[in-house]
Amino acid sequence: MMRLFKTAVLGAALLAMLLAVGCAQNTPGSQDKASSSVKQQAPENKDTGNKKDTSAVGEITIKVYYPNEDGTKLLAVSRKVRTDKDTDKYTAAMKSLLSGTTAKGQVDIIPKAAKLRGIKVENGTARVDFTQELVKSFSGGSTGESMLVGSIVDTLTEFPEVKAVQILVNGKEVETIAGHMDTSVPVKRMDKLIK
Amino acid sequence: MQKLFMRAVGILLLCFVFLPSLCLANGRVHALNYFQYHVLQENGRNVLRIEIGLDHDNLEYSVHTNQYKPKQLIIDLQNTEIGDIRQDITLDGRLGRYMTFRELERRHMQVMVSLAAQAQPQNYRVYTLKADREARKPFRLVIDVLEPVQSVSSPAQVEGVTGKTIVLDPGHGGSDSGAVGPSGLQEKDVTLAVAQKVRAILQNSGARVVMTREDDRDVYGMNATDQQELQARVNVGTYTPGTQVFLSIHCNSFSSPSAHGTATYYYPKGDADATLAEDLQEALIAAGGLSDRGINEANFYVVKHAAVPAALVELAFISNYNEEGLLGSADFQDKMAMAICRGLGKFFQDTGI
Repeated sequence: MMRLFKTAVLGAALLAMLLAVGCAQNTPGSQDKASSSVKQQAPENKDTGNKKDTSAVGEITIKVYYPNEDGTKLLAVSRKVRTDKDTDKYTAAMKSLLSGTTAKGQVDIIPKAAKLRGIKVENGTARVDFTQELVKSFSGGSTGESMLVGSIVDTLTEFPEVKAVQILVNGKEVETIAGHMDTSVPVKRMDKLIK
Repeated sequence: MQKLFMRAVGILLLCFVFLPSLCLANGRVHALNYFQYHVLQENGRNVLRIEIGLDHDNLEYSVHTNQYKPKQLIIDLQNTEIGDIRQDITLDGRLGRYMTFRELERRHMQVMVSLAAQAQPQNYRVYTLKADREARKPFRLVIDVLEPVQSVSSPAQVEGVTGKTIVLDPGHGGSDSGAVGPSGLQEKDVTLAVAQKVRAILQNSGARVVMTREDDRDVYGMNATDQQELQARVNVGTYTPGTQVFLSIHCNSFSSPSAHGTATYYYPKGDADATLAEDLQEALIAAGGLSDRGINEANFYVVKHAAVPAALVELAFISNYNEEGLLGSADFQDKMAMAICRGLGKFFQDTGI
């Protein structure tokens, strides 16, 4: 029921956006897996206009990572996402990751309740801030925790200027997600999880 | 209570009225008229001794167990009647819970002892003792309930660990349950049980073992930050003189229940860390027979900050239904504990540390 309602709302929002932007640029039907990430953008239409990079308006292709079903590796998924003056490419990528996956053979690892609070890239380090549900709603062992951190870090380090990722919760550096990994310092790209 | 008392008095009266005549008739009917229990030590094992006194000897009795009520011990006493003792008795609580005396049929009492553990032949004895005038005890039926021997009571030994100092870190604990399985098994309980078994084997093999926690608790204390908690575990290794290895024991978990297998994690501080992980992983796979997820370099707090070679073993997936069952079984815990000890022994031999 809830899902139906959500779909309806998203659908309406998407329609509104399409009408506003014009049908020419954006044809969601042409993307397979990526369509959900475009929808994700729709409710983000706040008209504040105080963001720095207005040149970044447009559509880009990104890679997001989800673990496979037995938690042995991360699988890359290409998605097209929209950026605009309120949504830079890092935010767009992270929101796309958080929107989850329904593809066969992939599973979600970041708790559904966790939301993105913000993301900033400085001196090669992305500081990505989540709500507390990232830790509170997560129950994972070494594998779960590695995959959660790996999916965030590897998605963001797809941007060549991002060399490491510092995970924050409510604006503060988080010491560990599930009691194994040391996340008090920036984490470098976890290439070993990608095969 | 009053009713019980009345009944006891009634039976007692009956005994007084009928017993003399019955005794005269065949001399065979026993009255149960003495009862006592106490806990004693025998070869380091606690023994609950229950003594039921009878007014004369030559008792016929038989002992039974019931597979559907495995914690009950039943003793049938031929030609007996209850005398001056209560019908329901609460026992020590640790070895025996309670016992009842019931008249199954006329002149046939049945004694039921409800045990704390399953009634297994090696854990109880039933026999008679002659009257002891000095101790003022009559002829007695004695039921001994022996403390069950723990599965690692005489733990095995491994080679290569004699004289070594090892810090064991049972993952999570106290306010932090760790991961929880689909049937409710908590990681913190498994990690402690396995660590205790590992300690027993290592100590029996001549190693010195220090644990970051010996019971269900937070190591730093309640309301600590995550870093304080993890650092407190590292500190046990750092401040234990002579520590040579730091080993953290965990159960794995993942969002999909299909993930399964055994893995070992390490942080490459030096060459010895990978060797330790390899030796442990190899032994765990050989013993447990689960899917081999290999050794993994990981930025894990305790293995990274330990001052000595360190590894974190993930025995199996508590989030996988089958492996949760294994993790909860004493048999699997014993096997994995033994494997950890073998792996440690091999590590000391490989590295000469």
